[in-house]
Amino acid sequence: MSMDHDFSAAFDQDLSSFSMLDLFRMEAQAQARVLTDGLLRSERALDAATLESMMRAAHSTKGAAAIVGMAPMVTLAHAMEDVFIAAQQGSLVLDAAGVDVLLGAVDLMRRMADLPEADLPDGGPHAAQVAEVLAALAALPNGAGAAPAPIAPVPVAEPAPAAPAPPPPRNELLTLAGQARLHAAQLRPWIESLHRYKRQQRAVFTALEQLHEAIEERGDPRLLELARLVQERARPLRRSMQRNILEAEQYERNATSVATRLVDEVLELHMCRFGDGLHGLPRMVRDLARSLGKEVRLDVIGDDTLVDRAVLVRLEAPLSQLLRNAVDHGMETPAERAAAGKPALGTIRLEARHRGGMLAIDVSDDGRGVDTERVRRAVAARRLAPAGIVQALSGPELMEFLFLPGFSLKEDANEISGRGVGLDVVHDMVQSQNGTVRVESAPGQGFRTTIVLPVTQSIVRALVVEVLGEAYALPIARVERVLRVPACSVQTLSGRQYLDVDGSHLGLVSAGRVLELGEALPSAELAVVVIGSARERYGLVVDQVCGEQSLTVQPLEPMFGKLRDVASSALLDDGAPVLILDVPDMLLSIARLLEAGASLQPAPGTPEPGRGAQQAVRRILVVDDSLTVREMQRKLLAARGYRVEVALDGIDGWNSVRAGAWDLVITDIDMPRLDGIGLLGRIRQDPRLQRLPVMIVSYKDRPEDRARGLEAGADYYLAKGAFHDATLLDAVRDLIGEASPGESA
Amino acid sequence: MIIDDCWRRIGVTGDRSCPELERHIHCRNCAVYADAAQRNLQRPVEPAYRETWARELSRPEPPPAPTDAAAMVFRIGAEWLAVPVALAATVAPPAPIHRLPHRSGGALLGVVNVGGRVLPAVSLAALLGIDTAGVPAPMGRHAFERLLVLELQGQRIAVPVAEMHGILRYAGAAVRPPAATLGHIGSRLLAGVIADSAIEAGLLDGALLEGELAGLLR
Repeated sequence: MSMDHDFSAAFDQDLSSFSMLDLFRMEAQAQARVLTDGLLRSERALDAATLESMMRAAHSTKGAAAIVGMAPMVTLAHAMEDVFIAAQQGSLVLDAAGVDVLLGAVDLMRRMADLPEADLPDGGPHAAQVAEVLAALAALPNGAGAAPAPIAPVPVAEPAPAAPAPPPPRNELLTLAGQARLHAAQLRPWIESLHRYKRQQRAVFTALEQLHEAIEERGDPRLLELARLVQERARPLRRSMQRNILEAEQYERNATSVATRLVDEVLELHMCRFGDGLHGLPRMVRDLARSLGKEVRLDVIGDDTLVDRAVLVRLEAPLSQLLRNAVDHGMETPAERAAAGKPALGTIRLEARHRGGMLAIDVSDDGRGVDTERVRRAVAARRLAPAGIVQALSGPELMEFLFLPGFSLKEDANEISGRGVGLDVVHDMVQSQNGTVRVESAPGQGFRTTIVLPVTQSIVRALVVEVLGEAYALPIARVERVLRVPACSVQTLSGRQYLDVDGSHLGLVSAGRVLELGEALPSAELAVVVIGSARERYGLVVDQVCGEQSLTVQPLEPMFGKLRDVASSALLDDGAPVLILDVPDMLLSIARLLEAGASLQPAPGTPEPGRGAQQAVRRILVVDDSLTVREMQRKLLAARGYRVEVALDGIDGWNSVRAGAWDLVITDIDMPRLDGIGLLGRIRQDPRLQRLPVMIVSYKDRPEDRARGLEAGADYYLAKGAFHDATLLDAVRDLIGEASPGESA
Repeated sequence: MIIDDCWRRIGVTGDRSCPELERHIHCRNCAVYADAAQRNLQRPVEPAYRETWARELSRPEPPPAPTDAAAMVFRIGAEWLAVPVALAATVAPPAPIHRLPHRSGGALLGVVNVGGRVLPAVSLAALLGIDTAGVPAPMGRHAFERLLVLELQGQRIAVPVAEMHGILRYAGAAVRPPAATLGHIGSRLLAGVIADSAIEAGLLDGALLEGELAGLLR
């Protein structure tokens, strides 16, 4: 994190459009970063160069603040400069307490730089704090840190605002570059056809040659003359064909290499240095360690490794969580460390590097590590696995449990970590980016987390498959394996079809049915893509597996909102669109459809009786997060002849509501992701759905709940207790009539 | 001056008994025919005829009808329709449309590649209830299917059309209310009917179309 880089990044831009105050703010942020880095460094080993750079930073800030007329900032920077000078002269030793005071001053500087213009001359709301910090700074040279004024501990949760980041490069550029590469690649088949043409030409020439010989034997002068003419005319054709092919190949090489470089350059625009996204972390580790009475140093290695900006942004929260874990759980107190024969200063290494086209990030510490036996006990205590299995689990297998939501070894949750939102957050984020995460630990030696991610999210390595003649892609990280099996090896158990794979049952579902695209033609061999995790694994039956490809991702038009089961789109080499599937979403879809009793079987079973006739039946969507309630409602209504489908929560429900034609929606109120009132609000705001009848069924039966539901636009409010009598069915009949429109009550 | 129209008597339009026919095959190759044509063109013009034309040509030309708006005209099924030119972003050759999971069957056809961008494709025929089945190909000209790309609030949407006509300039005041001829298609989206000498088209209301398409995609 060199300061040169920060400055060049800030000043390479065209600055003519910024006001003086904007410029001051940018400079203040950059200087604050130099000061923070310098202070953190000086705590470990104070060298003259660092002091010098900090003094210059304070001095420059002072000058800049004077230009924009910010008197309190001038005084503050001046006081800081004094401290650095004193340290240079040796009359002051910067210890941890002194660094605390100075870091507090830097924070204040940052906050003041963001004040509105009117507050500049007097420091606005920070005036009192300025005086406090000034007093603390003044106390430093005399007492040499013996009795520093108590500065309020810097709140860890409030990160200093980042300097204005350059705008993210437009995706349009990548799309166009990808298109250029696609066009260049399309020259290849054309050149192949030229080669084919040349071979045909050669055959024609051979035939001509034979004809010529035959004519010579006959000795007819007229024919001989004509044959000579044909030969003469044909001769240049050979050469020109040859030349055309060579030129075309040259052109194709040039076009491909330029287009490929173009794509690479555009991708590079999306990249930034790993270190650029982590300015807050060393400071956070230091403050946190001090508040816990520990001595910890963060070493960042490979901070100039290039990372996709979008990836880096998403990395920030999980990395900070890992570092908090390391400081809080991993690191021992200095006394404990001394007893274990380790240096008092603990070290956390944050290392980023490229490995095999992937970005590998290691967070390792030399703390106490995790005792696998403690994990084993915790797993057993929480009954996460049967006792017999718990005893047999290996070390790495036990480590996997640390990623479960709510799993924490720490007995008392504190504000730093251990609320049960630790490693599972990291795991979810990494998975959403198509990466993997692994932890390993040697008790007493330390703990290491390794995250492996694709370097960019703009290009995804994917398995392309065909479903009913159209191309779909699954991120390769989400595909467990691909199988090709004869249709006769499919077995059926209680109505579900499955395959025997390595001794376990793999449930088969038809991709066409999951995606509601239609029925595939039966074939003698099934192409099966295995997706999911150990707990929930399915074999997705597709028409054809086309192979692995690198796809340039195009986000779907924002107007679409979230499309169920689809993550994004891309173009294949021949220019045809391909939809990249959202595998977690699909697993949810599959679970939902199976639960609703839908047949997702790939092999042709008996066709659903009279699909056409069923269209006339009234359709009801039941939205509830409780399986029991959902099933009860479904059975009740289905028994009356209604066609019922279910959704697991509000978002799922909203997707279904938009996707199908419904006669009635029955929804719960309390649901994750989107509650019933929210769902109702969306339905009522949609011009096409405004008049769709909606019934609320809820445990809440206080009058105010009822009023709230009806106010949001519900047509009927039913308390859940009222199921057992026919209230639900009566209410449904009142709202939409009997199951078949033909019948009347 | 009398011209002997021998080609009508004994030539190709007559009984074809002219001996010259064997050599010339058709009267237009014969010198007699060419000579008659020359003489016809050099015939003196009567004064009355000249005066009629002089009067006609001396009349000032009527000013062209003022036009203050333009629309892009295209055909869907048998219906000629138009959208304000501001909404028409570009026209692209037809391309295969990829269906969307869970969203089939409506006016939203899927997504399509237009110049490297994956855009939503919408069937105006389904949206407006126009029957495209069994519409015969137009006589006397080639009709090329196209993708008309509409731009609505920065969002591009591709619409397959049977044929493009081009830009039609019209006067805002001359827009007629939707006529009975167009009454059977989803007339709530129609702002009126515009026409020039060559064509008559139903003008779609930009704002209503925008709302309808946005609702369809969500």
